[in-house]
Amino acid sequence: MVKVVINPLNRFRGSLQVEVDIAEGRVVEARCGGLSYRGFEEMLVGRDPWDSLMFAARICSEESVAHTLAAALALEKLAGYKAPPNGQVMRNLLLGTEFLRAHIGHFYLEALGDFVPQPGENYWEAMDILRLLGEMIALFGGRHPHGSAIVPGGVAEVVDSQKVINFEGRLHKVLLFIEKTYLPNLYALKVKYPQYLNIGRGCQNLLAAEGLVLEGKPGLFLAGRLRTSLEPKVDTAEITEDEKFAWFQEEEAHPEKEGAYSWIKAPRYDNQVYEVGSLARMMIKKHSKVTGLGLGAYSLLGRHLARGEEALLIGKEMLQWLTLLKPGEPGAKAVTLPDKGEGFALIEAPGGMLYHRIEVKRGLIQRYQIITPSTWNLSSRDSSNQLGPVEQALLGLTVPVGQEALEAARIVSSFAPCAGCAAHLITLDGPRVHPYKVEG
Amino acid sequence: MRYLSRRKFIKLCSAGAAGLGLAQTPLPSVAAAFTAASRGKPVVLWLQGAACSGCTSSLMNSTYPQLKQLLQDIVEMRFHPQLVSTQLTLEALLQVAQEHRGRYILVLEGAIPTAKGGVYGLIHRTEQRTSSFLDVVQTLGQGAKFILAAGTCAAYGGIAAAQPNPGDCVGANNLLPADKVLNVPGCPPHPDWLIGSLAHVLMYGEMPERDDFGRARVFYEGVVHDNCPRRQYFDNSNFALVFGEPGCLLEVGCRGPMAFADCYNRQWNGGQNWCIRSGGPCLTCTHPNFPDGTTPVFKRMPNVSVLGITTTADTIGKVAAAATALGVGIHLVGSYLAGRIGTKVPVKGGENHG
Repeated sequence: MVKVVINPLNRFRGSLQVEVDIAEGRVVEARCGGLSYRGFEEMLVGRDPWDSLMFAARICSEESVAHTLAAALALEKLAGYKAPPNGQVMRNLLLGTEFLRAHIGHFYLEALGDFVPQPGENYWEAMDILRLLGEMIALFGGRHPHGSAIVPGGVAEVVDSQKVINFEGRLHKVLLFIEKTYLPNLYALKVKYPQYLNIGRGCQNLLAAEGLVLEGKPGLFLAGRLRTSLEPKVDTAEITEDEKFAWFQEEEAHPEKEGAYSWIKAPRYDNQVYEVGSLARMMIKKHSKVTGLGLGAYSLLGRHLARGEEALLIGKEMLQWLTLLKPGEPGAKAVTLPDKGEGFALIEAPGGMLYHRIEVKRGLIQRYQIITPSTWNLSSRDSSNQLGPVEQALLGLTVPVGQEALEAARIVSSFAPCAGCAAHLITLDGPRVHPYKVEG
Repeated sequence: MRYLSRRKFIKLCSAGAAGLGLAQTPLPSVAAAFTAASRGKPVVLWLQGAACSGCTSSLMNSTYPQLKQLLQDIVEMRFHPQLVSTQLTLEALLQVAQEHRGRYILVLEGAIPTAKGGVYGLIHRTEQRTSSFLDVVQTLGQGAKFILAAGTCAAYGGIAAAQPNPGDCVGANNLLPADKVLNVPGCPPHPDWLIGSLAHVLMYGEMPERDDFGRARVFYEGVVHDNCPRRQYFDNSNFALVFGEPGCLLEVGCRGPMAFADCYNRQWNGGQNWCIRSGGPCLTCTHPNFPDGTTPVFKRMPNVSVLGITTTADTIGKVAAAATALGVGIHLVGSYLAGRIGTKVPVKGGENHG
């Protein structure tokens, strides 16, 4: 048996290590571990509730808007407020832009290097597009990354026609890039590597929350679970986290724990393993470009294609949202937080379902819980020895001799993993997440 | 390589017109100078520790020079977690460092977890051997010509070191010789601050003039509040009470009075916007005590009157550090400087929200 450790220091965000055991040319064992820990949930305890916005943003710069928004929505839930229409539209534009930046960025910065030896013109063109996307986030969010304009009550930025025009002009350029470069690059991979529609299937259980929502309309993405059939709702009471193979003991960090191999716990829904992200969103939405791949959607290439098609879908939708902005009308309203209570948010971030929950007592944060998308996908195995989604995608893989690491790394990369998010988070208060039901 | 005087370079870096950034500095000539030199382009090794990758995202937003120019013409980035496509193992990285010993620039992004030998930030783990970020920083720090601590985490611990800090995260200064470390704080730092600081050490082979917090003075000298485009509102006591209203943002938590950075002039993302212009408060993310000494955010700095305060980053920082040590809280620094604290019991942070 050969043991292969995939521990590239670069082209992954955060410290991630994947180990596979190979016997007779097949992967017989896989372990996916996050190797670093920052502990935001511990950090937030005892702080002012408003601080959650600033800290949340800094969990991950790729999903800074998503985390800030989740924190703001949790506070709005706590206080019983909703953002005014301009605020909601600006939030969707900011979050949509973040999706585009994450998808394009992942493909060109992290994935493409597995397929082509040197960055070509498309790569540098993509870098220009990423810069434009940063500017778009700055236009309504103050700066990119980590602006301070998303607040409970809405968005501080004031809509004026100049900003709308500046945003729209850039969006058209980005859309052109998606249509003329990103998608053609993706489909070229499909032609060159058709076998990649057949590997990396993973757990084939998909999970998504409602995403990119405007009040009074169904979200661009729909809540649901897809296993053998589609269950169109998500109930957060069914979410548990298992720490058997993670460096935690009785909810505290314990880096010397025997048998553990990751800083990432194992979140489970109804005790089942679920994959989150673009593939889940696009399948649950029944987007024909992805469902049309049949079983091939559940594959190394399927995940890349799902992100590409999703980028196009979101980009086009953003053009519609721009028309809803009303210059001169407020983007935010005043919010007063109660001294105690609870709030939560379940949204879609670029990487998948994102959950924040806050408990406030005597005006301070009593408890804060975060479950990031990558925690689902990069999860370690659980007490029932169920492997996480990335681990399952590697299991059974036939690997050509001498290329074990490359083939496995391509599968890991297809999940757009962000160990940066995942490894920095734990939940401190036992297995149950919280008792609310979220109807989809 | 001294084709441009330091004084002139610093002057150009300080961005005469809003939003112009480094466009006035002849950075491509840095490239030309290095290419002409026998050793080729300067080698840069960029490591990420306890980080959110935000400093890298910010670097990618540079409008001048753009990323392509920086990576193709100006420096030889031999290692970067996202921006170098050739995958390197730890051994290969150490090999590169050995080959260029004494010559490469080490850029650190993120704080360094030091607890229990660095186990809160591992980069490699097998049955035979475990390597932590701490180990690698110490090894590579030894051989570096200069170390750029990119971002508040790498410089002072920042977000990663916020209480209770189980991993004992620290900034580069705690581990590496201060004479080699140039701090470029900001959460994230502006790309001009990163590239400008880097360009200075490359062009002149020595540190730019630094303040007491190890930052290049040219970028971190001005007080945001003193130079704020909303300053007139403050002087007229016109305060925004709801986000999105015109007015000075002090009541919604702006920390401009204790923020030393040139955002008001440079602006962000190619001059598109910046925090205060967007109506969001300044969080003073370049501050050595960010975030524990600068929160709660979105709450008025209690008891602060900044009128008449003239001070420097060094002074306000020292007072802040002393105030924090005394448990007074950094929000009161302004009052302290104005001579209002010390004679009576200060109002506690959190009880005086506007």
